[in-house]
Amino acid sequence: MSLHAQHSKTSTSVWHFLRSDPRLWAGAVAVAAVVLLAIAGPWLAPHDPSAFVGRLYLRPNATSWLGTDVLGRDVLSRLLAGGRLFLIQGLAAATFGVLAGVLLGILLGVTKGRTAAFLLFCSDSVMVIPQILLVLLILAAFGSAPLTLTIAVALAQVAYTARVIFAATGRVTTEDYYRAARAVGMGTGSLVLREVLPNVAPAVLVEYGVRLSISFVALASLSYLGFGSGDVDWGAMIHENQGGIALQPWAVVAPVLVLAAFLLGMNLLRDAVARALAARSAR
Amino acid sequence: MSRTTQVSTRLIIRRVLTGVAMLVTVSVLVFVATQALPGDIARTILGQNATAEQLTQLRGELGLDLPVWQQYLHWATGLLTGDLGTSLASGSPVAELLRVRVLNSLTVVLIALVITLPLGLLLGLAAARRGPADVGISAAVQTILSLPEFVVGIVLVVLFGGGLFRWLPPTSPLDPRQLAWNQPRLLILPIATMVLIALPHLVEATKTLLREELASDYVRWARLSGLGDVRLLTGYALPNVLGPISQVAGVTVNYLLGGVVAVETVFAFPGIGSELVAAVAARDIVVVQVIAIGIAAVLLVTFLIADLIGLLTNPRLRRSR
Amino acid sequence: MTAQVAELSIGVGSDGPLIVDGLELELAAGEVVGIAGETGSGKTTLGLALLGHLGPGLQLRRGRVSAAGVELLGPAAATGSQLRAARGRTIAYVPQDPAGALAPHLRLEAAFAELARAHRVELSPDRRAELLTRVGLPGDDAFARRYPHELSGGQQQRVAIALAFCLTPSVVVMDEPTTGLDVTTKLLIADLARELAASEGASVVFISHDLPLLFRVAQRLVVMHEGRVVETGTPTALLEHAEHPYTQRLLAAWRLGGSPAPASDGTRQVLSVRGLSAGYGDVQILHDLDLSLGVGECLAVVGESGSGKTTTARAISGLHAEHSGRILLYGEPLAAEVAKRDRAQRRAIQYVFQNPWGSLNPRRRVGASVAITAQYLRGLNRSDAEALAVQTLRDVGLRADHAQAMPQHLSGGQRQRAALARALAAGPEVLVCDEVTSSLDASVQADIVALLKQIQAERGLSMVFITHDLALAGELAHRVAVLKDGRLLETGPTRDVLAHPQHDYTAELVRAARLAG
Repeated sequence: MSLHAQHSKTSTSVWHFLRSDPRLWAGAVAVAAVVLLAIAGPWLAPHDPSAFVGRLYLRPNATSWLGTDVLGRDVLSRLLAGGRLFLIQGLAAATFGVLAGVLLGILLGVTKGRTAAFLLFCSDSVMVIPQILLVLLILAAFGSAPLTLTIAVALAQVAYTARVIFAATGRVTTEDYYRAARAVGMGTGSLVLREVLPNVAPAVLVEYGVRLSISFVALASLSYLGFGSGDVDWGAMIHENQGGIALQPWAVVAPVLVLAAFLLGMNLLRDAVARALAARSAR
Repeated sequence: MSRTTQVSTRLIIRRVLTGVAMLVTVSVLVFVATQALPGDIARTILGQNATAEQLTQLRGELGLDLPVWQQYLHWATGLLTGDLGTSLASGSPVAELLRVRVLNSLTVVLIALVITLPLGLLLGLAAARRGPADVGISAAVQTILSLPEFVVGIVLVVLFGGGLFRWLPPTSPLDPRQLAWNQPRLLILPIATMVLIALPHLVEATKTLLREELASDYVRWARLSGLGDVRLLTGYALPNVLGPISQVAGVTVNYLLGGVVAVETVFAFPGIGSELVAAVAARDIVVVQVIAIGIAAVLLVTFLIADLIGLLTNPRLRRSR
Repeated sequence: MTAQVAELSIGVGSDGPLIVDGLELELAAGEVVGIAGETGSGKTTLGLALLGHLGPGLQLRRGRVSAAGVELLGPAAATGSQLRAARGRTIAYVPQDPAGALAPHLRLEAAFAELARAHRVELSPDRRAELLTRVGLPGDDAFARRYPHELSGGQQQRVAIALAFCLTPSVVVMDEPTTGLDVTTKLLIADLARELAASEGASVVFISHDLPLLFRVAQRLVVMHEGRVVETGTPTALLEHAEHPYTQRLLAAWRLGGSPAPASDGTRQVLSVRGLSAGYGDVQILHDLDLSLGVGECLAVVGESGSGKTTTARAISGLHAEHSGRILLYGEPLAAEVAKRDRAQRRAIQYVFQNPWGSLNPRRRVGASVAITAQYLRGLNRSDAEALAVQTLRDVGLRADHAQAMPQHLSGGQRQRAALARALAAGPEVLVCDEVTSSLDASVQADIVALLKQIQAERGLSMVFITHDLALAGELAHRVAVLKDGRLLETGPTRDVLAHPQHDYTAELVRAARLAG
């Protein structure tokens, strides 16, 4: 078989595997739906999210399709308005966290020696503390403004990403082609750019997917605990309407469903991509 | 002394020392994250409208005018001698504040652990053999893993605590005059939530470990020599993954301890999780530091025990004489 | 007839490529049948099929396998408990990895007991002791109480063989059972297989890629290529008149023949190693080694795994910094680490790695990988370096479009040529080839060796050729140095060392090397 024919067979493979996986489509639809809802939401809201539209805890009716909440505000409007900041923060936290983690991981992997070992030890020590605790520590000292929140969530994940990318970098530096590149006199910068980065890229992608999910979960939990940003977000909605579950479950159930759909959808997407990558390399 | 004991004693001592070093490192990190970063801590905590008097008082309480390393030593020695400091928010000694709460949280966590460990191992074993059990378990595991902990709790409340079926109380405000142990109905939902949170990780990890072991050469040979699936699972794969499984058990404790925050908030349960949230909101870094270090210490001890079990059950460290 | 394979076809899934294609085989009691084949011949799949086992993702397309009256694969195949009853008892298996049969948590006595228990038979300690002594191991209780990790690789493999024969099976399948073992043990295992087949009356299927070994152990040879049987016959018959072109190629690749081109100027020394001692942490690998290489000469450094030959190659190339002693290039001392050597020195000595799958960056085109050497070591700009790369790739027998390809699209042999091109692009004086043919199939090895001979002659290179195979050394090298346990055992002109080895060990290496004649 000519080289060209061989090559084109492999390059279509990932998409080929992905396309036929129902998980990919289910996940993509769920995520897309929620993202659309969050972005377009504020314009589609029938009422002002902070306005009083009726008595407390009213069941769904003509004016309020999902009923009212603990302060008599329209649940649907609040649902539509509560997603934007959440999405932006999650994306930002994951991106910064992964960037920092990748930098750290590669640096530690390429430079050996005592400093690297010490930093790894510190990183491992940080991982002993449960993630939510790490974030709360930072919030205790610095407050819970939206930017602080995002940075705290990002920082709490750096150690984990660094560990994963450090391991991936280690797999590259022990390969013969890396030794060959060092032997011709390539400097550390070139080594990282030309030998390490292209080969750890798949691991970085996978890690980014994982960090996205974890960041969103963390932010949702934090807003539930009362450290949310903005006047309206889904986590806080769930918390403030929890007392009225028996009267008006929709004030809690609606944001729970939207959150669950988003997070489960992301998980399905990630799963499908991981399967496709594995199937391609198994050939 | 047999060679097994000789080899392991050296490894055991090294592992214990590493654990101590980690505890010190973690304490430094906790301290630095809350108290030692550049900037005026006192002003950050008290906010823009603090008076000069309040600022001076806080600085004195926290010893912020001393060099950082002295502050750290003062704090660390205090912890070791039992002086946990004074809460900034309430003014009462932290030890008193936390005593009952620690017992409450401990009750829930321990009971959840006792249920989760055997259940998780069994489900992992069941899922390791491919089949309908695996598919069902995997789906459930994946679902729970994607969701935030508080959502799991809320779902339970909606289902059992007043939404659909009103079997159980939707919140758990324990009576502080009685032991938590004596108020079982209030404990059921929080414990159930904790179990549901920690179970998926344990099941997934156990299943993966067992599957990998089942793919080893020696298991394949045993299969080709006529041994049956069940025997291969329990008599061959399982004994060789005890070490890694005990480490996974350690990670399970990590998830349980992390889960106290969300679970106690959902059920208004008076434990260290809800106290931590309140302390963070009030910027009470003294309380926050103590709870953080306490949890970290418990986890480090747990990981130490798990690693020691790993050393002792590793067949490659055994000697025949 | 103890076993029969009829029209066996096994493929990937229901419509993927065939791994085994219409195979026919019959086994008789007490004989050893050798299955010869290279990677991709389907020999391992055949071996497992004899136990009624299909690898993951494989499906039976046609045909049947039966042994000792039990249908193992095919329309009437036994399942469940019947199949389990046959495996281990009627048909047994010895895996490639010596530790592959032994569960790490079971003492040897427990391993035997488990087997007996699974088949509900009594296994007396006497029978166990008898088997262990037959394979050359102690039969006493103390030995039987050992754990697998307390045994050497050779001992582990012998226990696996004892386990295989312990329930008196009719068929024993041995899949590459001598992999990773030293030459003495290899010959021992081969003789053991033959003895046990005769005395226990079992049919032994001995799968291997090592033709000389098969010639020693088998009464009948089956040559497999791409899933089919291309030829069968006794070793002597095949050696004298092999009919199928593939068989002829295979035999040719294993035959002693050829000799190196005359050295251009053997008097001047390009490389000199004095008192080289090297280690890895606490472990000492090389002890006070002395070697020398003349200009235009090829020196073969021969030894088995653990002899220190790779460490020697790496130390010379500056890739193993933990060493003491002196390495001199044209009389000038070289720094231990390649990073500390100057550009001219780095250029002068080039290293070619053993493993073709790890030596090229999988995310960079082959031509670019070759050009990098020229860029860094000869100061060429990008376009000049790329032009040189294409030219060098042609010199090693590849085409221009290979330069644009990614390593995954090249075969093992092609990758190794590319690795060679990368080294040559620097314009070196000394080429250090570390087991560069060991990971390749025998038929491809011959091509690479021919290429090396040609390149050396054309460019007047000096070469250090590391190998475990004395016959390759005979083809290529003017002088040979034999290493054992990190020490130089003997050295001299190749012809002399091969014809009159001074040590028993060297003599064994000569015997194990190739088919005579």
